[in-house]
Amino acid sequence: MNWLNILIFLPLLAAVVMFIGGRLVKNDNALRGLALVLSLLPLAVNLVIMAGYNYGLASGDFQYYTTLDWIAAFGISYAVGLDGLSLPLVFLTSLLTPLVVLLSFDEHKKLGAYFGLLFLLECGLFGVFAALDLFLFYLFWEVVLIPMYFLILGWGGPRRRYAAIKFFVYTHVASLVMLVGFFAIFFTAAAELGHYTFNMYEIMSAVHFAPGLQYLIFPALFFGFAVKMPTVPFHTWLPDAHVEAPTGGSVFLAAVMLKMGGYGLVRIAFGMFPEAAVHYAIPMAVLGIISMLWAALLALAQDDLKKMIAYSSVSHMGLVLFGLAMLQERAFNGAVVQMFAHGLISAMLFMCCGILQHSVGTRRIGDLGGVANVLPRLSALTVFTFFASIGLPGLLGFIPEMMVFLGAFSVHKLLTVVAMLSMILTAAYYLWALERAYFGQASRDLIEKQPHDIRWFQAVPLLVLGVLVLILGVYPAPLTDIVSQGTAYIINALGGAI
Amino acid sequence: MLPYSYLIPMPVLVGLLLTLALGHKLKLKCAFIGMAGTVCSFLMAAACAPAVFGAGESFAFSFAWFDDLQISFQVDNLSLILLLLVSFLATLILIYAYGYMEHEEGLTRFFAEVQLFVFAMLSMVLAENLLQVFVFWEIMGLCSYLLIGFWFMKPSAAAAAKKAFLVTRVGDVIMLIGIIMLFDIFGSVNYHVMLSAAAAGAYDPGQLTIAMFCIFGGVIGKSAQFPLHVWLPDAMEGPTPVSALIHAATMVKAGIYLCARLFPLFALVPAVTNFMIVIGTITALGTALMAVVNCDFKRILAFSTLSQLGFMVVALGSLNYVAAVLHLINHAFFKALLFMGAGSAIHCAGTNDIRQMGGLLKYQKVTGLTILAATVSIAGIPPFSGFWSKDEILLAAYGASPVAFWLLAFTSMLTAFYMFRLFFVAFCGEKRGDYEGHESPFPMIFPLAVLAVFALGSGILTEPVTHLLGEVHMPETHLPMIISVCAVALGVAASAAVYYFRVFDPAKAASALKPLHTLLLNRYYIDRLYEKLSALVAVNLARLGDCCDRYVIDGVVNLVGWASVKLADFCRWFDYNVIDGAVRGFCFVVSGCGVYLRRYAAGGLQSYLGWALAGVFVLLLAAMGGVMFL
Repeated sequence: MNWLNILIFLPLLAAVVMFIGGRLVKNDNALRGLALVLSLLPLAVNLVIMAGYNYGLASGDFQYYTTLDWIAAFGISYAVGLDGLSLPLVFLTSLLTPLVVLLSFDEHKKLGAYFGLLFLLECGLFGVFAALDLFLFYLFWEVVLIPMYFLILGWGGPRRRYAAIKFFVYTHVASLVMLVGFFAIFFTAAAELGHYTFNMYEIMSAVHFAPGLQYLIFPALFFGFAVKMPTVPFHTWLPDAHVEAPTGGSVFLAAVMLKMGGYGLVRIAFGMFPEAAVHYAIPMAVLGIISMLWAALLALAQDDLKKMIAYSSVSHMGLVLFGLAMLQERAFNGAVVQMFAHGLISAMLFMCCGILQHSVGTRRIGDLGGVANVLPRLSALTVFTFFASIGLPGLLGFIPEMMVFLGAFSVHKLLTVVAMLSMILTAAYYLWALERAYFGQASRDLIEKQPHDIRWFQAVPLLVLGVLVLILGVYPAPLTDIVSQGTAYIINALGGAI
Repeated sequence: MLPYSYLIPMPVLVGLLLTLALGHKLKLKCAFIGMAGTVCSFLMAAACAPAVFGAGESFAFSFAWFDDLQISFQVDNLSLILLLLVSFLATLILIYAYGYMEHEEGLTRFFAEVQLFVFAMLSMVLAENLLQVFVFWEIMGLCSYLLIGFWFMKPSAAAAAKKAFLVTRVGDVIMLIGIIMLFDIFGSVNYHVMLSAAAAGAYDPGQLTIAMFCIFGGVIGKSAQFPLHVWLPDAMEGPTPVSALIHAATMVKAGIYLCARLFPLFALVPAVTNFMIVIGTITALGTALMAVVNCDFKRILAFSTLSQLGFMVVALGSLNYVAAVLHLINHAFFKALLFMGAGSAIHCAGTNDIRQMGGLLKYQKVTGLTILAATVSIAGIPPFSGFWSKDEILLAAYGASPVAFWLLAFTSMLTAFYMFRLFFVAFCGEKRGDYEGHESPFPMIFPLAVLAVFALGSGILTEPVTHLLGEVHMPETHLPMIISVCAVALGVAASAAVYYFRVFDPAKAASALKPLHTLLLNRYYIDRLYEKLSALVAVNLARLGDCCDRYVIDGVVNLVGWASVKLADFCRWFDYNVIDGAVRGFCFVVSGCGVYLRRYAAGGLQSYLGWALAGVFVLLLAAMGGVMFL
């Protein structure tokens, strides 16, 4: 019995149960409990998987590998497997789902559908990270879009229609460009191997792409992934989607969905086309730096806390691109660690922001002020979260930053120094927001409103993530070891291409 | 004890966890947990002392962190001195805080943050590699931020906290660049690797110079040297025990400690040490001038701290790190004392403004006398402690740069002047404010008394500390000492004349030198310049970028969307009117023909017969024509 298959399809089953349950059960609390239980099951399965995972295996070997013929005529198969690159992200997804379900306990509208969509999203995300067949990957990639679209449209803010459409169309167009790249891979592989296959593993090991072809396919894939990450200048869908999305949706969007871009970039673009990655390294690094600085600067100008955090996501994902493009082992691993770290921290950021909005009714910095007087606990957790995102040493945010800069400096000194300037800007926008929104005197309105401080179902997710951020920040070796096991074969390929 | 010395910060950490767990019940009693932790740390450090100081042993310990990086600790003379100093002062300040913070809210937060700070400072001192130093360096910065903003409901405190963190962050990022450069040069940032490689000459001088400049950048931020000194005066918004512990006695010394630690590296790059002398002198003199005109008790002390830190940086730049460490120790004692005394005086007078105090000595004998002890010490009156270390620094500066020496001698005159001004105005003369004088409670007085002993007598540590850290070659001359003693005498005399005997009115001098006075009161407009500049550049740039994002990038996105919709509309039109039009046109033609032809198919038998005959006729004609043609 392969636990990985169970992990992927359990959320699908859960989604069906929730959709039906939503029709039949009218008691909201029962639905919430049901959703929580259902969301814990994949986490349990994932823990079993992690317990059975062989951490000592050579890089490039996939574990829990399953392959089944699907559409054999075109070489399309159901092939899934895990390695050190995907395992942290799968864990992130399965951990966040119950936390998001918990956080959404104060949601009232159509609970069955809401939780069902969340589970559908989870299923798609598992599939993306586990798929080892390009077609399957693309399928799951698209599966993720749909529940997110409906989450924004059904439970979103006032401009949700615009945001949902923009989100869907923008990322969908990007995935189509990516699909063109996949077809190019497919036909090249077919010509070389003599039979049709979409299997990444097989293509990666058996097919060699001529550099000229690599230079053509790589940009198509890069565009698909860069929009998802997102990278400046393809980032404007993200702030809009975040501002309008419900808190749970935002958490998934920032914490996991953006990682699909980074993951695809590492696994497919860098993994299959090392020569092209080397060829385009400097432009990509520059794009990464521009993302880091530009988005950090723009975060400074935002009046909506959630939009500020959205821009900070763009900035932090810029570090991923920059670290990858440096093609240096430590920086590369740092970039992958950053994906996980940002997953935890951005989830916390959006949770803090969502809780604030539910409690006070606004997240406009201009309308807030002195929140710490009335909501001391939430404010304390927010300060913790902001500093985690600033990259305070001792918390997980610092580790990847340091790895990337330490590694990158040995490759490209000037670019690294420029990239490090973002550290100042990041501190600036967070502290300025803290000063204006949380510190100072509370307005009369705010006091009269008597907002509710953080509740247990809101505190638990934040605390779970916070503890994880602290532990891994103090002792990151377990994470970095897994990651370096996963990336070693790609780094070797890149090293061979330089 | 020595093999376990890396555990020295642990009691404080345990105390921190206990405070967090039990704080909501214990409230003020958290102070005792804190004291227990720091006392344990102090005792553990003291237990190491015989082995380290006596037998000259040192201890290093390391284990793997992640990748190829390590967590490593080192206990030697320098670090043990600092460990003892920090844990000792922290204990006294916690006792003081027990009295001072009695009526405050949020005590759990306060004591937890103080303990986190002490933990970070002790760990920083123990660290044996620069990355680890950076880790605790930043955590100290966080504590400083949180504690300055302890009264976060006060907008000025919130702003000061932000300013402190951001300004030091600039230095810290520069320092991180330096650390990464050193890692690039030496392949490791462990002290022993770097120092032995440097001793062997295995480095590129140009790169090392840049790297050390960057490291010194961090020192400029943390130890508040020009041009990043602006955060320290504002940091006085925090509670007074915090000012005493973090912003006078310990954290701001972290930079000095780091330079002393890396001294062999700094000694290799004369460009950096020269730069240190310049920066240190500018800071020492510039901030002493500001202290002369300021009237806020704590701000005067803050400027004085800046000035004294400048002295230490000059000592480092003059390649006499022993003098810097000596002054660090002495300054920690008397400045902690001054701040705690300031807290006591402010408690009594209910104001920070020394002009509204006056005659405090009548009510506060202990506070007044202990502050006097600290004042004579910081002023550099022989034989009290400040004299000894300042003398060493001036001697070193005399050897390194005569200009710096003369400016520093002038600064020591100013130091004596403004410190005695503070004492005379606040504690002597008539009572000017509207307050009921009373001495502070015992927990606040006791640390003052203890520190007064050290402030007066820590000069006797000069010999042993010099012995422990190693002799540094110094010019053999007594001229600097004579000059500095004269300068100090002049400063004290001038201060006494103006503020005690009131020979002439200082207000007249102020109005005569109005432009200078205004300049100094406004801190040379540096703060305002930074604020304006950051607002102008960063915020406006950010707004501009936001507009660009919204209207240009998003404009393109929306334009593409709009164009697609329009294209779709056009296609619909084309579909409907052209393609569908063709189909419909054809239908129209066919059906039109049908309608037209229908009238000829109305059902009349004769007409059918007629048409049929006509058809046959036509066919026959055609056939005939065909035959003929062929």
